[in-house]
Amino acid sequence: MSIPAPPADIASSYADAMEAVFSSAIAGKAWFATFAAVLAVVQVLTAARMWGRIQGIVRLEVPAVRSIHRWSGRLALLFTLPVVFHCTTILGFQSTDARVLVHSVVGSFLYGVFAAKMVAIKQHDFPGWVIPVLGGSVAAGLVVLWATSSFWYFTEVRFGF
Amino acid sequence: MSTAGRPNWPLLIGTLVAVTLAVYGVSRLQPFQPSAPAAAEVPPGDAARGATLFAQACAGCHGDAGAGGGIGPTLAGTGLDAPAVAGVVAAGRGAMPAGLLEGQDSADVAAYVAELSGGASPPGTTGVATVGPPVAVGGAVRFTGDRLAGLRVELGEAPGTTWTVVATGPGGDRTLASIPPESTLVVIPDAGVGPLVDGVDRIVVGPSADAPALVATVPPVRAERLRRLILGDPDLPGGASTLAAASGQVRVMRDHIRFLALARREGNLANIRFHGEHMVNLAYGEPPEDVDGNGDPSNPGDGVGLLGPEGGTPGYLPRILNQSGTDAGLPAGELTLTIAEIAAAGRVCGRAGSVTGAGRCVGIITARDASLASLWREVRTGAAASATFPLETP
Repeated sequence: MSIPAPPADIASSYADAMEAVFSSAIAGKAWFATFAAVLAVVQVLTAARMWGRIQGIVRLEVPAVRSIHRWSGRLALLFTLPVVFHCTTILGFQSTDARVLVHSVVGSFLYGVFAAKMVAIKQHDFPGWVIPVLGGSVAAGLVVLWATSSFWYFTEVRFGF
Repeated sequence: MSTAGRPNWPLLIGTLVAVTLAVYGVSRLQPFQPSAPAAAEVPPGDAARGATLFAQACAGCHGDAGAGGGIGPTLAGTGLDAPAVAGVVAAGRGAMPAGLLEGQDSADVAAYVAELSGGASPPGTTGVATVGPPVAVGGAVRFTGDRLAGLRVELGEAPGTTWTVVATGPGGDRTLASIPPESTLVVIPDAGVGPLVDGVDRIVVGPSADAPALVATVPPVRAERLRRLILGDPDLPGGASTLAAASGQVRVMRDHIRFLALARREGNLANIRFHGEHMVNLAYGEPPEDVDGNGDPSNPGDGVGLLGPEGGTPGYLPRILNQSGTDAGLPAGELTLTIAEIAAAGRVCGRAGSVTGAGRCVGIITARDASLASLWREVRTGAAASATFPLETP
């Protein structure tokens, strides 16, 4: 049976992995969250198109839009995983100020709402408003999380890789 | 699995709640946060010594006596015990770097924080105009409030009869308040006429304006300096008051000290250099120096500088000293030295060839940051004293 690595080693390994590409772990998280937030916008646009809206803006057929929606969603989820790993297992839930508290609360709910959306998609019997509300909440949550972290980092600390 | 045609709401809501609780639970457990020293490893601490260390190293973020108000959380009255405090000091948390204090220093601060955390309510904060010099024989008047619209009159002894407080100036006389026979103090939070220093030559206290018992004279030059210090200075960016503008720049400086410590903790040499340059330019103002050598000198401040350029336009600290007068009791020498030390260490950090080499200067900067915080509080308190004028027999 393997011996689990001490927490300090995991935190250091995470930082080393991020710094292989980015200038720091926090900068890496900020960019990962930014990529996810951009994909959240793609999600909203493609979802609106699938529901028959903004046909003049997203001039693609629904099957193509559906594929873009799925893959952009999967990519967005992948981009959030390194971020949520560090935030939950190393930094933890915090309430030092309003920005941090909002980030912690919204972050706690994000995956629950996402999982509920997946349930609603698999089960075809929910009212028509459920998926747009859940999907919109996920997108809005991602934007709030980005604003309370990456946007703060880029504007208050440093904009760069 | 849902019954055909009926949505499975319990499954939907249960999934939402379960996953949310799971994420929240993991974030409370923090399984991979670097570990803290065990309780048995924390030696007994001297809380009295810890109070001094706390004021130097911790109050800048956590407030005086842990009352909060800064970037760090309130500590007073939160029920923390010494091992928990020592653990956070060792491991760091959020923006707080690890290892700010070690060994007996950490134990003493932990003992102090445990003491103030155990039951006392956070002490009240004091504003700019609530502390002044001891009342001289006769008394003193002090213009109070953020807009100097109030007045505090304190007498050396009770008058024995009802006295009035009258402001006199080119615009005429205004009766502001009455002092009861047995009282030595009257406070006027807001006289309702705007800044009282405007158009006031004297504050007259006595049975009437025509029979003054005590008079405080407000020289025009001193009134003008007071306005620039506390109300607004047309020579500064945006016309902000000297004290307010300087306070903002001190806050920016302390933010960058925190960023520097964070960069050191992450081993980010580029950011160490970046923030080192910022601290130098915040101290000395325009033109900014390219300390980190990237060809792009940057200054996150407003260009005036806490000290100002050598031989150039005075920075904020010289301005405050000039406008406060020598009787304000400001820690001028010590504050100047602290800011210059931070800027000098910032130069070293900004040109550091390695993260390890930058480490010692970061340590110096973060240690001086606590002094900067406590000295700046003295500046704000001392500046308020410049709004005080003695009451003398005419």
